[in-house]
Amino acid sequence: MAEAEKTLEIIKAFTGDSTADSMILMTAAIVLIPMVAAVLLIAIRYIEVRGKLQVSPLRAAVIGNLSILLSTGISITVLSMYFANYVKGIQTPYIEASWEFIAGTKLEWAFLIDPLSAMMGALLGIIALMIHFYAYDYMRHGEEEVTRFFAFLNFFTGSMWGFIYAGNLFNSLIFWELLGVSSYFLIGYYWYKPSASAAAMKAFLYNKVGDVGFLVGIFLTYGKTGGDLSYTHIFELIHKGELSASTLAVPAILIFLAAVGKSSQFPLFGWLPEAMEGPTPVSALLHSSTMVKAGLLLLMRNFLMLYDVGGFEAVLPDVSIPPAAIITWIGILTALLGALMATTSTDIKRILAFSTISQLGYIASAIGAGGLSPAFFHLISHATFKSLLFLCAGAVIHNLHHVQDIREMGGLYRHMKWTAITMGIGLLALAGFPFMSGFVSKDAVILSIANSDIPFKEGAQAIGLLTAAITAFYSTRMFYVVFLGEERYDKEKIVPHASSKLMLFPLITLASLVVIESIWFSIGLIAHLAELELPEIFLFEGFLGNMFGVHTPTDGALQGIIYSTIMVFIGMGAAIYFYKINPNARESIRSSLKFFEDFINNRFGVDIAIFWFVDHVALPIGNAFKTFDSVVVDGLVNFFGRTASLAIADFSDQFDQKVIDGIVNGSAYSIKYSVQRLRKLQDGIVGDYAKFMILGIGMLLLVFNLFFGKLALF
Amino acid sequence: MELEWFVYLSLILFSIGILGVLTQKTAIRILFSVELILNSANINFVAFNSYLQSTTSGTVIDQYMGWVFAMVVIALAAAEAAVGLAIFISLYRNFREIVVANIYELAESEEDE
Amino acid sequence: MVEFFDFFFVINALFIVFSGLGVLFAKRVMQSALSLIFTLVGVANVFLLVNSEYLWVIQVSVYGGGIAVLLLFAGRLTSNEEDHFSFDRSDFLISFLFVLLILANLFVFISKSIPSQRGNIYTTDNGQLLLRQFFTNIWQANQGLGVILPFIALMFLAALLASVKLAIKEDE
Repeated sequence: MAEAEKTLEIIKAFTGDSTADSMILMTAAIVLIPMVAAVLLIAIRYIEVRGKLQVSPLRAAVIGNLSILLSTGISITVLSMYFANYVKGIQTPYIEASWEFIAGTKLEWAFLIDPLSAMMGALLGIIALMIHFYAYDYMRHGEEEVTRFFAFLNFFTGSMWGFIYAGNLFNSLIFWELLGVSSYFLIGYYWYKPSASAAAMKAFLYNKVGDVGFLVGIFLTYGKTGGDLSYTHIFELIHKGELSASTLAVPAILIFLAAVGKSSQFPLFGWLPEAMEGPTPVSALLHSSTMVKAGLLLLMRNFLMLYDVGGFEAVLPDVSIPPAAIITWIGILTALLGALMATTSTDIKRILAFSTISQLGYIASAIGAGGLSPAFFHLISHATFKSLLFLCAGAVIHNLHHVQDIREMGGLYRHMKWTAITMGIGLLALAGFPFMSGFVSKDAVILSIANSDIPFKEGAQAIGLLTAAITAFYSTRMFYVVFLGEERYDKEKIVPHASSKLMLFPLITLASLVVIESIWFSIGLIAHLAELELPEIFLFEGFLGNMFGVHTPTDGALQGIIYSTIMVFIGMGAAIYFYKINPNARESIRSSLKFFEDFINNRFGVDIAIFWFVDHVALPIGNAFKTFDSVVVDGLVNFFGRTASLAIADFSDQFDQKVIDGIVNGSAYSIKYSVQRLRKLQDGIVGDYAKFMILGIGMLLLVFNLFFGKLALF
Repeated sequence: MELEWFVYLSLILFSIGILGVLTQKTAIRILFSVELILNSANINFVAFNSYLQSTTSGTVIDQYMGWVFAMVVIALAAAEAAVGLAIFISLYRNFREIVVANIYELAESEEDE
Repeated sequence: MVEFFDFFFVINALFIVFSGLGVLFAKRVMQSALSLIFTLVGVANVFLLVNSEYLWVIQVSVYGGGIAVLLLFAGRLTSNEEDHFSFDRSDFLISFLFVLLILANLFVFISKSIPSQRGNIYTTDNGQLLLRQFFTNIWQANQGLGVILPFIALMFLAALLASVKLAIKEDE
């Protein structure tokens, strides 16, 4: 179990600290710039639709890219400013600022800069910049409405930035919903395809389930924190012991429900594969650092709410598992199920989507096990390699003219060498090949589970290791089937060619980022194992731990590494055996395990169960309410309407007709009569008007002379 | 020669001007009458200015404010004459006369009744 | 005894009133305009009486010269030869009554509100116009005028623009 040891140092901006002030203003700029660009692009799109203007894709892309570039620069500046103190040995504080939003309440616009938001903001910036850059080349060929695409992409990124820097639960909710809306627009970008609009709707509704949990959780927290939802306030209360995690267990579970929806944990993971209907850059952004990471970020934000001895006891006396254990177990289950689904899938993007679900499960389980730093560690490495993988997959799909089935690929290495190499790097990281970034971080995750005190942690650890093997299997399988082996695509129609330089630039940048991360993390790992004294910046996980003030025990690190290395090699070996050496064995195993494959392809029946639940439980309940409403409530209303109201209505009708109409008609008639006389005066001759004016002045003077002041005659 | 004399003179001139405005038929004569009214105002300004100069000791601006207002009135009259000339020409062009009693575009048209 | 300037004032006032009436009742527009010029010159003489030589100059040159000529122009340009003064007796009577109402009331008002400290307001040293004081007065009046001159200038500009706009013949 991790122990929180960081003392709280909260700096309120705009109270004298000029550095904090400028950082907060920069944060606001980071959020606003993409939003403004999005609004601008929407306006341009509106004019385009009206047929007044045709904006070239390049210009739209330039607007989108420039805004993201600007925001990224600022976010990196914020990060470096934030860590400037840390390098000097000063503890990193929480910097927050808030503006009144609803007068008289503590519902405020608040920005919070802490290690989490500073690092995540910069990471999002770098990845989003690469994806935006890539998106131009991807979208410009034969795609209409690039303006709309970039508008929503910018809006999406801006919302995520807003969510990252949000300083209280209320703000988080706002940007959370903005993320949901913009993801709806982006997934349904090809709105004319029924599957795309259905997928958008599905994603939106699945997320809504979580959102309800979030909202109710906020309400409960609101009551318990005295109306102040700011994170720093909650942290303070918890640190002082005025608010214990056991009283916050139910809000914590509800907030976890929100994360389940957004980060597609079991059982609400059905929407994520469908979300592949959107353009590939959207998938890359959605899966790497924005949408699905928002849920996990929310959990990390509310980290302190999740931990306490006792947990559920206050609410459910007989159940002694804390919310954290629920999170761990759901996370690790999601990891396993996601990996299994990735194994049987044949759609290149869906394999990656399922692997995202699996990796998100890892991160969630680490959060549950108290490993905040391993979770963030894995989040960083996953964000990097998953964006790389999606961009590579996009390049492949682009080259093959929107063929997504890996069975119709193969042998592409010869034609697109650089894409293959970058994708290979990404897949190695995903598979957890020793000393790649994914290996180090996944190891930290499994280690944090092993060192936690959740119930049945050994089982969770074993599932984690098994999942690592499966991950290695499907990664290797994917690389082999797509890039090696025989060329199975339609050679008459499709001539693969190397990706354009514009596309390769983000790929190579991200691939080198993965390599740099791998080297960096490996140095930390080796230094940790060999107990070397290195500058702290090399010991990445320890550095993160210092940042968050939550240190995870690292007992048994060497064992863990050995285990996972073995599992990875088993997985890779199995893939090579079944796909290269002996494909017949694969087919025989497949036919004998057909029912299992179908089970996996049906997503373990989870979606079916959800639909059954909606059809047979939720809808009947809704219909029952509807019937109650139409029969009982309407009956009462109608009864009163027919009997009691009629008498009153009769009386008031009579009153209305006799008295009120009489008054109205009488006054109208008298006015009409006098006006008919008075209109004769309006003869249009100016001189006559002047006469009346003079007469009026004369009368006024007369009155004045006669009655007023010391001048009065009388 | 007292202040009252000037004010009564101004009053008489003002009344003549008003009478003119009310009774004259052509626009140009109405404008003449307006000039008379303005001049009566000027007499007042100047007379009171002179009276205050002799009885009080204010600043320069206080002592000459009446003059300044008289100047403003003269300037106003000039501007008015210029605009009036333009209006008359425009009217004349449209109606071939400037008898205001015959120009009653402001009245409701007979057909509406 | 009746001093010279009192005498001059009365004569001048009569001149103003009669020429003012002449503006109203002259047969032809040109006669009316001439009468107006007489009135203006009479008013200028009143200014001279109360020691306002500068305004006298302005009144005679700008008003009597410039504006009156402008009005003469207007009369020439717009009047028909048959445009004579016409007299509608009942209309005139009504108007006269209205004006009389104002006149009487203002008379009452003035007679009650004129400051009680009545005195000779004509205060030039021994009734002499000193050249030096004349120029001093001009300078001081200009001091006051400087405050208000921009407004006058703006007013002129507006009037000029409006008249040009009105006078330009529409393209037909």
